[in-house]
Amino acid sequence: MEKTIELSHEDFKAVVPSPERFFVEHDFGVEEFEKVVRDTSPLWKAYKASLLDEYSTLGFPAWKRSKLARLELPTLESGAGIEIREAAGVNVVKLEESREALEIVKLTDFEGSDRKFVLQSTVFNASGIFVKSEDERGMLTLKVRGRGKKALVFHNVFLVRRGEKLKVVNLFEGASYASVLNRYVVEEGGELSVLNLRFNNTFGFTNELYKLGSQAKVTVYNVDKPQDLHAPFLMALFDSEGAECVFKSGFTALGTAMMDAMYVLRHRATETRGKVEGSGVLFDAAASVFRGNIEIAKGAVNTETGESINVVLLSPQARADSIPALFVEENEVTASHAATVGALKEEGLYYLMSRGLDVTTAIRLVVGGIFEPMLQEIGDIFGNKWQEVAGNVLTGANT
Amino acid sequence: MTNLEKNEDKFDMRVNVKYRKRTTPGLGPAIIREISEAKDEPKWMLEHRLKCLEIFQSWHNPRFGVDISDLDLGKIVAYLRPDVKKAHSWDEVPEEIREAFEKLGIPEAEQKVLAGVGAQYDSEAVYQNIKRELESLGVIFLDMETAVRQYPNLVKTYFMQVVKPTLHKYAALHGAVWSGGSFVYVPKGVKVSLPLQGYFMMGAPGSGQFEHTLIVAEEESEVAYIEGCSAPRYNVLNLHAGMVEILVKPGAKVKYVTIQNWSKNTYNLNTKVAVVEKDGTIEWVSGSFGSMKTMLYPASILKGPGASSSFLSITYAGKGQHLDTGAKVIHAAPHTSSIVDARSISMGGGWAFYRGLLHITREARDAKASVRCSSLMLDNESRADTLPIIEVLNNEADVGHEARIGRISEEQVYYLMTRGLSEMQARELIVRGFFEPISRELPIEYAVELNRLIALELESSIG
Repeated sequence: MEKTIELSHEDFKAVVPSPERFFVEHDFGVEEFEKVVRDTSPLWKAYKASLLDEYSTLGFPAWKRSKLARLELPTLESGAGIEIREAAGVNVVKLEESREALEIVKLTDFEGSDRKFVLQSTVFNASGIFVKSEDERGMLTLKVRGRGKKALVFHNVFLVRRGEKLKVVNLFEGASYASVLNRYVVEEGGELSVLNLRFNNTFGFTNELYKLGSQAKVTVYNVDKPQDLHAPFLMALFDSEGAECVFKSGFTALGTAMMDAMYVLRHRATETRGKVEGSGVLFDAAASVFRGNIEIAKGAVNTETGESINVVLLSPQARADSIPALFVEENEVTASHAATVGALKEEGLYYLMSRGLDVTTAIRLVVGGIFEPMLQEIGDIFGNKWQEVAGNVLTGANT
Repeated sequence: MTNLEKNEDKFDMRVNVKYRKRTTPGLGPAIIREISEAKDEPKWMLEHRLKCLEIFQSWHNPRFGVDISDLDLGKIVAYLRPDVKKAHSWDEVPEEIREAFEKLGIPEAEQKVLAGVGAQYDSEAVYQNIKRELESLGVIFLDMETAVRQYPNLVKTYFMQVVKPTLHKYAALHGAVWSGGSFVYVPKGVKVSLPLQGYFMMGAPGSGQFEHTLIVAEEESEVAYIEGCSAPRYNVLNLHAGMVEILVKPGAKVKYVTIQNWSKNTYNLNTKVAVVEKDGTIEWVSGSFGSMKTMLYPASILKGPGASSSFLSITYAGKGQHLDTGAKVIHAAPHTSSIVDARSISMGGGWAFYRGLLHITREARDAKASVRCSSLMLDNESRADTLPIIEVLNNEADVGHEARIGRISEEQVYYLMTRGLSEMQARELIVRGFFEPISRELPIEYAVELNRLIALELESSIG
């Protein structure tokens, strides 16, 4: 299994903190398992069954910075499906009908933000999909909209085949509990672009693994506006030379909402390039945690990697935590990180207000400016429609 | 390199010292009572020690940092009192111990650049002196035991109030077995122009050193304190769990300089905290070169409006070393400011880990903070990590952080070689340039010492 943090060097090892755990009153168990495996192939059923014990004996993590102690696990929605739109140049099948997908899942086992959520999605997924690119025009839009007080649990696998291209838009909205697990494998020379739009979900846990082949190229845009808590985890595995991966995150949080994000770039091949960029705006008593772990293994020469995070606080009650980490075992590399946290520049606001704008509109304009470069890129890759949707999530009327 | 004296032996001095008191290895109430009795302490201190022991025994190990699972406290001798009388003149210090300190240049430096020196061998001070004119101004510079006896109320007011024994397991251990260290008290308005120094030497194998340094700088006063540490290398583990508590009263300024060169069989689990009141300033300058494993994060708690902190450090991790070091800054009042400039060099398979915390509270409006981490990896056998945690809880703070990890550029080496330097000289010059911001903060004698240390380490690793 791909652990999230492993700290050792020669004969030394470092202590890696592990969270306290708690159990919820009605966790998923055998009953839910039996429901979701009704139409599953025997191979998949056996695999899922092999993980059920591990899931049941593992509590939820009592993360220090998030508000997980308040977590309530609603009833599992075992019938909810993913709405598939704008599918072109792709082959889509039900995940648990595919033996190939199962092989990929076994090869990409990982810990994620916490093993509990990865296991939850793997074991209790009922209607996830397996997507395979078919040419260089692959495009797919997936929509999930929450229905009432139900837990939505999904597990999807994406394969971008050698030299092919795929664009994916994932829209996830209004769920009271969402645990989403996506595994992406991009073969040699493949290109993948992903736009994740996640907003107004009460509790959201997303775990995504990106496994990059030689010269593969991945760009991911995360656009987030959590209602209570969203904890996205994205990990890129640079297993072959020349791979490139960029994670870009834009988030807005209002009220007492919290973003608790973790991005991991694991460079372990030569000539790879990685980047994590985050921009966030926090209103009211909202909070964010932005973790970026960049790791460079010995031998990963000529890695170029870096991370930057900028958070703007718009209220004296807001809180921004930034934890940008570098773990480096190879010296023939370029690695850096930077972070800023601050208030909006008052000069900019005064200027706009002197032009007749009221303060709310002025703030919205300045906030829009923070996300503009990212929105522009989203427009270039996914089209104006999605640029507008992303813009509305980040700077919409209620912000 | 050739212009530098190569004298590694000076840090590996084995001295045949007789001990007047040596506790049996391990810990327990009986040993704590023995230590307290040997020091002829007041009752409150014994009670404090026993309470700390209880906390230590019930507390968990740190859940981060270096792995200390092979540190067996049952084998560590907590208290070793050399059979010497504490002297106020170097002539009175037994020859062998004096020679060890002379090799380090301490008596010479005292003459030239210091206002006072305290020298500790294992658990007790062997020498303590302060210039007379400072004494007449009311400056107190004593070994901790003497201070406990002579100024019980003053010491009791401040002792382990900045660092509570519940801070972590090794703070509690320290509270239980502390011995030696310095007490510095600078009265209101007094500016001590030359630094005071404490030098701590661990001489015996399998021993622990737990010195306690307490500095109280009253309003508008100024003082600088230099702490040096070294030990000969043995095959068994030594433990250093010292503690430094600093109180910087309104408008006062304290500079605390450390050159740590424990031998590479030492666990260095040290705690340093300064509380800074209104408009006060704390400056930390820190060089960590020695030890096998270190956990050290000097902390500044900026409690009063306008308080400021600067932290400059260089950590050198060579072969067989895992140094987990960093800085903590808590901005707890408006208009406070802080700078952290942490540099590390790793080579020969060493592991340098920067771990830092910057916390800006809701109240710390208009706080300004900058954290900069730079790591130089001199080979690809080594490891350099940075993990800064930045927590901002108000929208009127200005916080910036940057970090960079890299190597010596071959272009720079080539350029210097075209100017007639050997490759080794070129690399050494670049490394010296890397830690120059720290070395220029040291008195010249100590800067030279730092250069020597670096040269020795460079030569042994890449020479």
